[in-house]
Amino acid sequence: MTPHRTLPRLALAASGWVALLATTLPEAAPLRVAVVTPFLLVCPGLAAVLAMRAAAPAHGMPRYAVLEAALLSLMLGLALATLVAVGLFLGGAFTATRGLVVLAALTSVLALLPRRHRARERDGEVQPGGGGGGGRGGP
Amino acid sequence: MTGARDGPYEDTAAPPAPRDGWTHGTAPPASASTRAATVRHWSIRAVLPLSLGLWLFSLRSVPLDRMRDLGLLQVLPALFWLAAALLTLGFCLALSDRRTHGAWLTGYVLGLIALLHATPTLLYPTLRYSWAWKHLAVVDAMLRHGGEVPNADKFAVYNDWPGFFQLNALFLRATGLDSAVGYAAWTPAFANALLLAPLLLLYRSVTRDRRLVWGGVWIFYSCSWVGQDYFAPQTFAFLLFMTVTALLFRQLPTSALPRPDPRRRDGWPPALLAGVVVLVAAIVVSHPLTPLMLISALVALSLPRRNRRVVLPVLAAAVVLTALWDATVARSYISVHIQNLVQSLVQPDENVASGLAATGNAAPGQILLSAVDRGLSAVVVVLAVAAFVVRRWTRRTGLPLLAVAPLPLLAVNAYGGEMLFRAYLFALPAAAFLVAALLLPPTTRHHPVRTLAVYPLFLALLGGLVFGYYGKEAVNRFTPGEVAAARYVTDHAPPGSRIVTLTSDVPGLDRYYEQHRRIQLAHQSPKDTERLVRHPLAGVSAFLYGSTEEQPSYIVLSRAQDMNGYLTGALPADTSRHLRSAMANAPGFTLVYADENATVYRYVTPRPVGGTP
Repeated sequence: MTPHRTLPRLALAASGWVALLATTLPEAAPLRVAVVTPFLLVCPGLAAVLAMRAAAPAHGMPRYAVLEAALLSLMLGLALATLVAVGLFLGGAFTATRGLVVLAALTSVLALLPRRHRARERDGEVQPGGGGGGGRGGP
Repeated sequence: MTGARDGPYEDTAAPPAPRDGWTHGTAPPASASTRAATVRHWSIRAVLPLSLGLWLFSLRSVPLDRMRDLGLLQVLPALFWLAAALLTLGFCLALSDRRTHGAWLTGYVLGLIALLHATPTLLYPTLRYSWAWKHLAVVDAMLRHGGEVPNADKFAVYNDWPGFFQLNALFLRATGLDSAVGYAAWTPAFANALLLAPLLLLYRSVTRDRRLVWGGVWIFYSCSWVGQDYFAPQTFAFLLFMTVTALLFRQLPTSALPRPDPRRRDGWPPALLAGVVVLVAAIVVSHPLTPLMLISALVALSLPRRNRRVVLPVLAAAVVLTALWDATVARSYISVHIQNLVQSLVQPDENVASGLAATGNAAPGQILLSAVDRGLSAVVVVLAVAAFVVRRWTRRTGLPLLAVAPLPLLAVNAYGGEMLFRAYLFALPAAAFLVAALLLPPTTRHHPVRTLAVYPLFLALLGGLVFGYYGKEAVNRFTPGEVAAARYVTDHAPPGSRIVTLTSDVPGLDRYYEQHRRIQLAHQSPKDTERLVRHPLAGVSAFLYGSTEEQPSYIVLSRAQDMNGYLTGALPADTSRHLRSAMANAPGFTLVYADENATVYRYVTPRPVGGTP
C-alpha cells in the first residue's frame, strides 16, 4: 500500500482517540468542540464507507458517487453514534468517554481493515451524460 | 420506457447544437442567438447573488410584533418577496440552459433553502417552535437521569424512542456544551440542506435528465410546507428514511445510474446492505412513525417482482428490528395505544378528517391559510396523478409506489391528528418528481422558453408554501421575556409543583418536566373550558386545589399562548386578560414575574379564616 493511501487511513483510525483526548480540555472549549464535532459527524461513517469499498476514493469519481459516499458517511456516522448512545443508556452505562471509546475503536477497526486491491472500475461503466456510481462494490 | 421522447433515460449530453430551441430552418442569425445565450449566461450568474443580497437586506427591520393571523406573511417587506421571485426566475433561467454548471443549480436550491428556512432563525431572538424547546428539555432530562426519565407522563413516548435525544446527549457531553439551543435554532436550514443529497440521488436514480432532477428538487422545497424540519426526532428519522430510500432506488433494476459493481447483476453488495441495516436500526430507535412509513414504502416497492431481490432484505430487516424494539423497549407505549390503533382502523374517515384544521372559531387569516394549505396539497396530488397518467415512463420508476405508500397508514393511526400532514410529507419526495415530470417533459431538443413557462407555476407553489410555513409564526416565535418567565418558573418551582398554562406555547417551561405537573386549560373538558371563559377565577382555581407552600402552583400567561387561542379559536382572545385581572386581587395569588409579554402568578391555597395557624 502506498503512503499516500496509508496516511489518511491512519489519521482516520486515530481521529476518535484524538477526540477522546480533546475531552480532557475544559467544557465547551473551542478546540474541544472543533475536534469532537467532526469526529462524531463524519469519522465513524467515513471509516464504514471506506471499509465497504475495495480502495480509497479514486480521483475522477463520478459526482453522484461522491455525493452518495458523502451522504452515507454522514448518515452512517450519525446512525452509529445514535446506536452506541442508545446501547449505553439502555445498559445504564452512559458516559461520553465510553461512547467515544466505542466509536473510536469502531472507527479504528473499520479504517484499518485489510483490503484487497482491485483495479479501479472502468469509466466505461458510466453512461453518457450521467454521473455514474463507480467506485463502490466488493473486491 | 416508451422511447427517447418520453423516457426516463433522456440524455442531457446530446449534441450541443442547436442549443436554444430554434427549429431547423427557422434558426435566427447566429449573432442574435449568441447574444441571447450570453445574456442568459450572465443573468444566471448575477441573479443568485443579487437575490440573496436583497433577501438579507430585507431582513434588517421586520416588525415582528405586528404578526397576527398570517404570521410572517404580513410583516415581511416587499423586498423579501422580490428576492424570492428573482431567485425563482434565476433558477428557471439556469434550468433552461443546459450549459449551466451544476454548482449554480446547487447554489440556487441552497439559496431557496436559506431564504425559506434561515429567515426565522435570523429574525427571531430565541429558538422557534415550542416543540423544539420541549425536545431540548427531553435531552436535558435524559442526561440528568442517565437514560429513561421517571414520571415522564405525556413525555413517556420519548423514553421509548430515545435515539435522537441520546445522540444529542452524547454530543453535548462529549463537547461539554451546556445545551443544544445554539445549534437547534439552525436545524431547519441544515436539515433541509442535508435533504438535498438523498433527493438528488433518488431523482438521479430515476432519470438522467438534469432538468427533471433539479426541477423535482425545487418543487419539493416549494411544496414542503408541513414544517417537520425543526429540532425533533422526526426530522432526524426523515433524513435517515430518505437516505435509505435513495440507496435502495440506486440498487433497483430500473435505476438510471450504472451498477455500482458491474459483476453483481442484482441485489445488494453485502457491506452496503449492512450499512443500510444500521440506518434502519437508527430509524427504529428514534421515532415511532417513521419505521412504519419505511415498512409501508418497502412493501409497496416490493410489489413488482423485479424489485424484490433488492427490497425484501431491507424490508425483512425493518420488520424484524421494529418488532423487536416495539416488543421490548417500546412495549409500554405500544400496549397502551394498541386499542386506539384498532379503534382507528374501524373509523378510517375520522383519521383523514383529523388532519384538516378545524377552522370553526379560528381567526380569519387562519381560515384562508388552511384553504391555501389544502389547495397546495391538492395541486401536488392532482399534478402527480396527471403525471402518472400522461408520463407513462414514470410508472416504471417505483416513484408512484413511493408516493402512495403512506396512504395505508392514514387508516391505521390518527397520530395526534397529524397523520395527514405526515403522509403528505413522506409522499412528497416522490410526488414532487412526478410533478416535475409533468411540467418539464424530456425533449430531444432544448426549449428554454418552454422551461421558462413553468416560472409562474413555481412562483405559485412557493406562494402556497409560505402560507403554510410562515402563517403560524405569531405562535412559533417567542420573545426573550417569555423565555425568561419560563426560566423563572422552572428555576423556582419545587418538585411536585403544578404549572398551569392556557396552551403549550411557553418556551422552556418543560424543563424538569418529570418533577412538575403541567395543566393546559385550553385542553380540558368542554365543561371546564366553558367555566374558565365565564368565571375565569373559578375556572383556574378548580385546577389549583391543594397547592401548598411546599408544592405551590404557578400560572403562566404569555403572548404566544394568547396568539394560539386567537388563531385556533381554542379560547376567546380576552381570556388571558380576564384571568389576569381576576387573579390580581384574589387571595392566594401572588404576582412573581411580570414582563411585557409574560406574567407568572404563584398560588398557595389560603388557610381558612379563623383556622389553626
